[in-house]
Amino acid sequence: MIKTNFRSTQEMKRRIAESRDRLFRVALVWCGDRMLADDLTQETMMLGIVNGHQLRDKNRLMPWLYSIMRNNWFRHMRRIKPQIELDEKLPCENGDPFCACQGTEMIDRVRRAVAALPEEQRQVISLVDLEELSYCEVAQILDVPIGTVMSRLNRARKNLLAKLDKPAATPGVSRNVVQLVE
Amino acid sequence: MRNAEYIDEQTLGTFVDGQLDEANRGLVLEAMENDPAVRERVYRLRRAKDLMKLGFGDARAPTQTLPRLKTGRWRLGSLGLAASILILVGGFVGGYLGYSGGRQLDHIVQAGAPVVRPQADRVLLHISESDPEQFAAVIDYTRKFLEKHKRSGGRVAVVANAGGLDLMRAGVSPFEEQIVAMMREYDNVHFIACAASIRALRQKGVKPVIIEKVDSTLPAMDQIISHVQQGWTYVKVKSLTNV
Repeated sequence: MIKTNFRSTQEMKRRIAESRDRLFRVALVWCGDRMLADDLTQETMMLGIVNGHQLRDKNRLMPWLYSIMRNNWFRHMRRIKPQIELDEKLPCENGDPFCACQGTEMIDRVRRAVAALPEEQRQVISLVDLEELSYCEVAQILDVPIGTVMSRLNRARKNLLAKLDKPAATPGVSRNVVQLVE
Repeated sequence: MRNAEYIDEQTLGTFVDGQLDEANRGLVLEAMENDPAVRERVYRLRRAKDLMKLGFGDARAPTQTLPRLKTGRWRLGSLGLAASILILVGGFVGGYLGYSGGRQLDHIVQAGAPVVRPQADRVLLHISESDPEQFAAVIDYTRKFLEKHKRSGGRVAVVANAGGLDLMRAGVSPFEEQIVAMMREYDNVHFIACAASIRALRQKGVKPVIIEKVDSTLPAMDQIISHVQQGWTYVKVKSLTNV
């Protein structure tokens, strides 16, 4: 028997399905790898559906799913040292390399800078700045005090800006564009 | 007028995040009004937020068009993470054979509590790691299940993804002959290789050959969701070393 206050099991499943992109974005920040992020997202969704009876308040669906994701990710990291690297082909993934590279150079820089942040900082900044969750919710998801959330967030932003304030290695021309010209 | 240095970065961050209490929010606003340095610091914090949204806000799950629950094509992750049920290989076969009237399986399933009450005579084994010990346990379990349910109509399916795909790969699986023999001998067994994992291997330049008659039409996630919704008992196979 489902004990959530969703009107029906179908509603719960639909809401979880609709959360896919949000989960994926956070997973991408945590993993730094699209395929791994997709796997983490789907594992989280599957566990969300299977364990939906544990959710008491449907308004807490997203924090609850992030908690599942966090547990999965921690478990994964305990077993396998994660390889934090961005997909080299990321800027060209839409099939139009030239346009994609031109338009995503800054995105690429941001993602690389985020990938270089310590794990705990990536987690906090993704949940606060991307997902707009409250410090209290993030503290519950990550199982740390609110003060820790705030200090990690502060350091994450500071480090991110410091990395991005540095001039790019090849200003105005992305590595992928160079490859294209060659 | 407040000194810009007096307001620490954490307070400004809380302000930017809209989580500062009203009294302190007024103080920050006042400081911003009077001190360009405070405005600059707030601007930088907002810029960090904006950059995060720029960097990741438009990211979409690769399988974006496929999030339907019953007929969708979800793919199970390659993480090999613990799912809802954990079976220890050491006690796996003995545990199953010892069950009576589904009690033990019911107990195992409590951790996952699928939406549809699971049925003990329909078991879906999921393996996601390339581990000979786990392979052996899966094959042993499947064979004994089939013998036990030869006439009762019980059904067993084995779904493999990520590293577990090796169990279904011709020329790679140490149990290829046994799998072929079971498929030949029994109608109530179904071996499934994850289509997404096969595709992922191909993208890496590997051309996996799947054992003939193994079903490789859909991603593992799709198969698992579909089976669980139909009341199958989902069993994630893991080894003792991963606990």
